Amino acid sequence: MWQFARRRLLTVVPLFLIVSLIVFLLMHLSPGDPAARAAGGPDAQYADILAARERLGLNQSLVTQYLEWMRGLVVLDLGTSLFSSRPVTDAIASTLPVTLSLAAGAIVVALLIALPAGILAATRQGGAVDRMIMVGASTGIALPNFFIGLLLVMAFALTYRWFPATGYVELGESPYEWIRHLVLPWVALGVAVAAELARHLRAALRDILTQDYIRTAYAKGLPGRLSLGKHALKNAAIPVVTVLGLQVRTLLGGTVVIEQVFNLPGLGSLVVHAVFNNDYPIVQGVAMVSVLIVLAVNWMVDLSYGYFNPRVRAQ
Amino acid sequence: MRQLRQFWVVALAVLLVSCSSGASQQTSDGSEEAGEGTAADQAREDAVPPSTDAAPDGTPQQGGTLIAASAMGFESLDPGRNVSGVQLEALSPIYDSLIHIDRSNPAVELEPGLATEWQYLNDTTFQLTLRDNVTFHDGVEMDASAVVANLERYRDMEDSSSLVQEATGNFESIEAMDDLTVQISLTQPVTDLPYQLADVIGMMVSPEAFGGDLDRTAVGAGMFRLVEFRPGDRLEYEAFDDYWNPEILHLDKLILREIPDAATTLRALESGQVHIGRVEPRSTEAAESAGLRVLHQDAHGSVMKIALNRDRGALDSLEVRQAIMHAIDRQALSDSLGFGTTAPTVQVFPKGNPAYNDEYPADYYEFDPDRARELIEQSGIEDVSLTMMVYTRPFDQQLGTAIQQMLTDVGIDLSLYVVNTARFIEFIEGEVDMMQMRLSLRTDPLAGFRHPSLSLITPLGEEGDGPLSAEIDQVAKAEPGSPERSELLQEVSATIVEKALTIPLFSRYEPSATAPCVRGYEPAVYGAEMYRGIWLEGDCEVAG
Repeated sequence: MWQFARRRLLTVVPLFLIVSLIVFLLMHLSPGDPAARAAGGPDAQYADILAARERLGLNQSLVTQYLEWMRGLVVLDLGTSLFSSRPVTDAIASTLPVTLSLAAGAIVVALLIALPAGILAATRQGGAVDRMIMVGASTGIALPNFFIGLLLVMAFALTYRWFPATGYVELGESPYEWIRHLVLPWVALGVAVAAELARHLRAALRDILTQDYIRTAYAKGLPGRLSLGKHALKNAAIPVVTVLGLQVRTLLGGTVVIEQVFNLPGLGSLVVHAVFNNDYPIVQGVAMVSVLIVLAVNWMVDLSYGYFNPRVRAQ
Repeated sequence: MRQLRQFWVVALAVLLVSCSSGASQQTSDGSEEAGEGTAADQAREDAVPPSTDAAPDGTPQQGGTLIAASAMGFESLDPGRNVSGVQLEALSPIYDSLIHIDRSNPAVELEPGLATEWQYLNDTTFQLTLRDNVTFHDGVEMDASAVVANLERYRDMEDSSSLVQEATGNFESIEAMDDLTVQISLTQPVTDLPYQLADVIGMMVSPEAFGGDLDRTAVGAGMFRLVEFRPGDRLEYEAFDDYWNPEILHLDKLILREIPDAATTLRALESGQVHIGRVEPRSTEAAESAGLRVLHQDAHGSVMKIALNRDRGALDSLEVRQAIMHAIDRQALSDSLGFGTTAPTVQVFPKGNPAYNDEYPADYYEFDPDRARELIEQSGIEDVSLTMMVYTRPFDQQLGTAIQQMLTDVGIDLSLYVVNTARFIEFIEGEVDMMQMRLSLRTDPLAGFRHPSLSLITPLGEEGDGPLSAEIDQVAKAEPGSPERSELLQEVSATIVEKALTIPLFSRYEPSATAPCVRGYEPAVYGAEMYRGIWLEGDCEVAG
């Protein structure tokens, strides 16, 4: 286990460096001048724009700017926004919980849909239930999440008024309102994930249910539910967990659009605003945090293999 | 098995039919018609009918929380650092300014604010008399020393915005003559100081708060005190009990929710989550169908125009510029894209503004493609090929494409360069020929003429004098609000039109929509919403 953790840590450092360089270059080499925005936008006089460039250090060489940023990164100082002087860590700290709430809830919704759907489809192979579930899954994958979100808003926020159309309430402020404000975004984001998970679970279970040891379990008189739950599902979990890990990365990107649709003040909204305004420190900071999140998720997926498959543990 | 299959087909059909019966239906013109049979639809039918007039007068009622949607991203609460004047919306509830302007009135009339009187003692000395018995939110008295401290802070800030630097660049010294009198000595004569003091630099911050983080906290003398600032989400304010003008303060609380997307704002209004918000012109019918009150304005707050880089190639030629003026069918653009919120114009400022010149109506440059071709021939330039920067917003792209077609029809090859708004600097640095943009009204029309995109005072991205720097200097010397000043402003407008120094298309306003319970709201024609004099009547419960 320690060897595994050490090997993982060794890959983190070069990965960080590569990502930091790519993000830095992408931002600094793309068109647009944050100094113009900082000086006052289209109202700014040209002389003031030049002065702002100097004040913000944007007229220094790219190498100097990159090294300055990396120096800060080493001491966990991600810099400050070019326009609001707000520390990047502060901006991320206030928006990350919103995005994590959204992503985590979407995963829960996805699992609540995918597990029964995948199991039903696998245990009723070729039947009407199986076909319906697969049609539903295909539809869930085909429909963009923002489209699903807009449909949900139209139906449940504007027509039936069961849920709010926009906004976010912090969990600490009111757990009930926190849930109420996130139900529609969770479903919008979770449907596609559920569809993918259901398909993979169905395929994995279908294969496992034909295995000899399952047949033996049935022959021994083990109840169907126990054979399924204790033996089949555990073995089917590995490919499903792998897909779940991949979906988490996709979810992080999907939150950007859903946050716009539902006006959620999350990381996605923060980074979209920063990208369009060339707020380099914010974009770079969010990129590094995203890398951390993805690495953490990969790590948890790898650890879970050991839980589901003792042979992996022994290795 | 077959029967089971049939059952599921019928069940699915029933489910689909029942779901669609309560949903809205899209009509061919893009507006929505509410369906039947739901409680929400019944509520809409029972609601106050939408009105296209401003909210009717009535006796203001005290109390309630007003929630407004704002498309602006609030980054800093420091008036000095505020990156753009449009972010005044977040500041104006907290910070009163020395001089007020009623932003719903396009005539730009100055009114007493924290200062009751003001005058020029001579060309370079300006005096303010302050209102007595005004306190900041922290209890500190607003007196002459507080005003001096504020103006000196704005002048000396290293990272202040361009607007602030321009406004305070002439301040030589600021003195408190007594508790309620302040004198500003200028390095050179400027007459637009009252307008500047009605804008950002007139916003008074409590000097006790200077040592704190003014980007995140705010202590002013305005109607509301700041309760909470959540960047990217909202600002919450509560009424300031000791506000000096209680007659215009009827609310207990104000919340500004940051909603950048217009469609999301409409959904928030329709679902009852906000009371006030700007809506896109094409969405006004949908807003009215949803039971909202849509406020249309006679006064327009901005002009959509094409800024020109007159030092590049063909645009140096007067004939080519006038040809472009004749090639564009402003009425057709207004009819197809305006949804009733635009009016063709050939001037930089809309009707009603002091700088608007009645001698130059919208048809001064008639839509005449033949005349445009004649002018191009007269210019002697064989192949007129231009690039125009257009923002990525759908409206801007539609407009750009229409203009491209109109210019192609008269032999001008126009390439569109579609970029996000942050890349305007490429036009300022002279990398493209033209830029399609919206010029919003300023507190002082002179500030509009000074806008860098017009390059009237200095050429784009360069030093030196622009074509109207002398004329604009003359305006700056005339007394604010005087007939002479208006006349000079109108002469500048006339020159811009005659020489086609820029290509105005149409003036416009952004309609506002409110919940039926909102009263006393008059949308700002320009600048920030002020939220003064608004009250809530009847059931104004906000959903969610």
